Amino acid sequence: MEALDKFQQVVTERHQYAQEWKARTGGKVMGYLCTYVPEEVIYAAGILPVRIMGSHEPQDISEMHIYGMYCAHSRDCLAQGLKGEYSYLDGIITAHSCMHIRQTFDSWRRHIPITFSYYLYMPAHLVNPSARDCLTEELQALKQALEDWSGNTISTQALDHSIEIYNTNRRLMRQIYELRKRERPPISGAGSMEMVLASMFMDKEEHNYWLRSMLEELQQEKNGLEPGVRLMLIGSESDDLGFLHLTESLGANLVIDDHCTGSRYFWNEIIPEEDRLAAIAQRYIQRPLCPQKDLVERRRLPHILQLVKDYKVHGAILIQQKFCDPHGYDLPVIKSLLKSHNIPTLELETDITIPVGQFRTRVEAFIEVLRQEIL
Amino acid sequence: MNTLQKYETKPLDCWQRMKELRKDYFLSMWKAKERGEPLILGGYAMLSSLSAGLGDCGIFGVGPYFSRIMRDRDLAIRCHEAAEVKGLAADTCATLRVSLGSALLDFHNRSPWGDMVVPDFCIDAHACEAQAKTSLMLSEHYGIPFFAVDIPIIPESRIEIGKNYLISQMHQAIEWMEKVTKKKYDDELLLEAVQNEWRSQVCWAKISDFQKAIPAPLDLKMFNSFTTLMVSAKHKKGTADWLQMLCDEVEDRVKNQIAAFAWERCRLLHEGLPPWYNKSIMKLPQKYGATFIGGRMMFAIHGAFEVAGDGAWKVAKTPTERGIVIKNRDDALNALAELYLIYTPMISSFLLSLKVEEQVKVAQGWKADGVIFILDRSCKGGAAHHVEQRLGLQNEGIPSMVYEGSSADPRELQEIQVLDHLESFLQSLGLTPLPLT
Ligand code: SF4
Ligand code: SF4
Repeated sequence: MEALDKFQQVVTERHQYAQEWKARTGGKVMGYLCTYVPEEVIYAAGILPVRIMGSHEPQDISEMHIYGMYCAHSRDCLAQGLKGEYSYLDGIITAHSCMHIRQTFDSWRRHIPITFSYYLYMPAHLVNPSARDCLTEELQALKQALEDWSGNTISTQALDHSIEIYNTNRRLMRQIYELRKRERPPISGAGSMEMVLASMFMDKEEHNYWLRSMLEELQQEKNGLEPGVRLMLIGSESDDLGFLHLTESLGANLVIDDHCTGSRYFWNEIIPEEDRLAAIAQRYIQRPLCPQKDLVERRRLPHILQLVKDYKVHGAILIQQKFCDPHGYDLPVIKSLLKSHNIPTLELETDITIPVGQFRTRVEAFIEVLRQEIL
Repeated sequence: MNTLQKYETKPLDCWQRMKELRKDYFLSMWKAKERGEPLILGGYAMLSSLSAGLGDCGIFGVGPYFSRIMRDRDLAIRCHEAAEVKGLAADTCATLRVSLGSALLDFHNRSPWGDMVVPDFCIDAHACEAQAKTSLMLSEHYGIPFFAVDIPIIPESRIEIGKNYLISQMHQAIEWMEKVTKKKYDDELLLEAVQNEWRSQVCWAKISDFQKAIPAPLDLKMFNSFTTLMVSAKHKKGTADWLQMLCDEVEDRVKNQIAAFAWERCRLLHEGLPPWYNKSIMKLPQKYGATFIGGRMMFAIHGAFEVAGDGAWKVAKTPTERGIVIKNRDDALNALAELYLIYTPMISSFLLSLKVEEQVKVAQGWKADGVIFILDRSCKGGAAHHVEQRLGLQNEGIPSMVYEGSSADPRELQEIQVLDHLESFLQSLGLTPLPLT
């Protein structure tokens, strides 16, 4: 499939893509560290937002800055910056999330030359009624800061255009995810993640073009993947495509997920309001919560359960970045929720690299048990 | 550093009063239900004034037995294991895990007379990831309602946005507490409590500041002992008055060169929470004439300071000292929001943007000869940026060492190795054991 090839290529050559975009458009590129960063506002300033990710290769360059007991993702991201992989970035931004990634942001700001760095406060208790006003004001301040730095005015029209492009992007990815409900999903879990990851690196307008073509093809796909054990992937940041390929090579289909390089990134759209920034704020408040934001209501639980039902999930892999405490607090509760609904779970802990042999054995055994249960 | 001088030393006169206060608070907590007063879980050393408008309350905090558990290694381990059986990983906050574990073991809420006392509700200030997450679990355990006050970690240039958010949540919290307890909230009591909370924090900052003196009038162990009052009772008049008494006494000690440690010739800072269950790390340096005079974190956690753009601290003034009159609920909540968002470096440094600079300024200002960092696997909030802080010190030529461990999980500390390492560090500072020991 041409679109999937394109996405794979962008994921592999993400830095080259951003550099070419920059050369072609003359625009600025902004690295962001958390999916709570409201990309729409950045995009409206004519800036390309790209998510900073790790490379899953062993490194020790971050040890001088972040203690090894913080999550591998936060250290791996910083390592990429220190190694100069992101030297083309004009700015970096993060939104208030966990302490791990906050260190990445601050160490980046301290040690890697950059002309713009911005910390957006994103309330932790997003469901609190006062969070909306707070976030809207934060977005106003961000808009101003971006205008001052880029020299571009972010007009209402520019915001509308950006919202439209981002909403289209989310709608198309959601439509593609819908197709994964089929007994024979037309796209694998790894392919779906490549699509989402590419969206984080690409100009969304271009990504939309490829998504449309992908959707059309997938809708017409008659065969799809072999029906089999249907798995859900739940967890902290987990963009290790190698692990997804490994799991699917063992005879299971990853049909849905709840993590930030998957559905949590695009699940809901912005509902238009007169105050554009308030509408954007509302979208981030309404999106499927990350554990750092789910403080009192446990809103994640009914959402996860709904996905389990909608996608006819047989079992869930709870994938946890080693040392990730926000997810560490939620996992026991999610596990017992799924257990009470007869959904078996397998817990795996990932580091910068994964222990392939060990994971293979455990995933294989898990799939085998599920297979016997289904039969 | 190698010259030997013996300073006069003596115990604190106000120590006994502190012990009485601690006992009073402990008893009033256990008696709260009997007296028909609300018993409140949570809080974690912030915004304790908020519940004052309900009248007398029992403040359960994170649980009254933390110190006892920390003195009993086996019990501490049993608490951790109980939480782990529930699925809580070993890298979650160990301090709070102990609390949850003791609840699961059914003694978190067992009074000294054997009654099981269930708190009425939980209210918690959430600045570090671990706080509301653990409080939620504890609230679910007890089946009680829970309110989280989300403390905004926001750059100073946009502090007004954060302040408005915090104030508005505190208004909600008051209404929520009225609903949950069916008690009328008394603003006068809130006003008084906020003044006390401010006074307590300013006093804490002053006693921290007195530690700049050579010899240091107090040591880190003493600060540890004072924290019990600060964690759940800094809004009480008794606490604020006692801290004032302590302040006066410490000032006197400085004037008269009364030391916490008679042979002080090397001054150390301990960064990150010290392992509560271990005494030898605090003690060993004394063999070399070195003493822990405090730490950035210990000063910052309860102290009210003005933080300058370069990370330097100055003891803050209370609203009254600044001529601000707190007349009503809005004023009180505004003063409380400012206390934590602007004047409490522990909170502002969760942003990390000045944490390195503050560390360097504290080491210089407090004339530290060395800084010891605990890389705490189970305190992600406090340990953040320790590695960067160490780099900052290195650039200024200030010696430092790190050791791995946990402030509240004894299984994480390799004591012998850490002591060896500490001893080598002290020797690398040019110290030799005191001839007298
Ligand atoms: S939420 Fe977890 S995986 Fe994500 S950056 Fe924080 S610690 Fe790492
Ligand atoms: S700062 Fe450390 S001790 Fe305090 S709640 Fe956070 S993790 Fe726990």
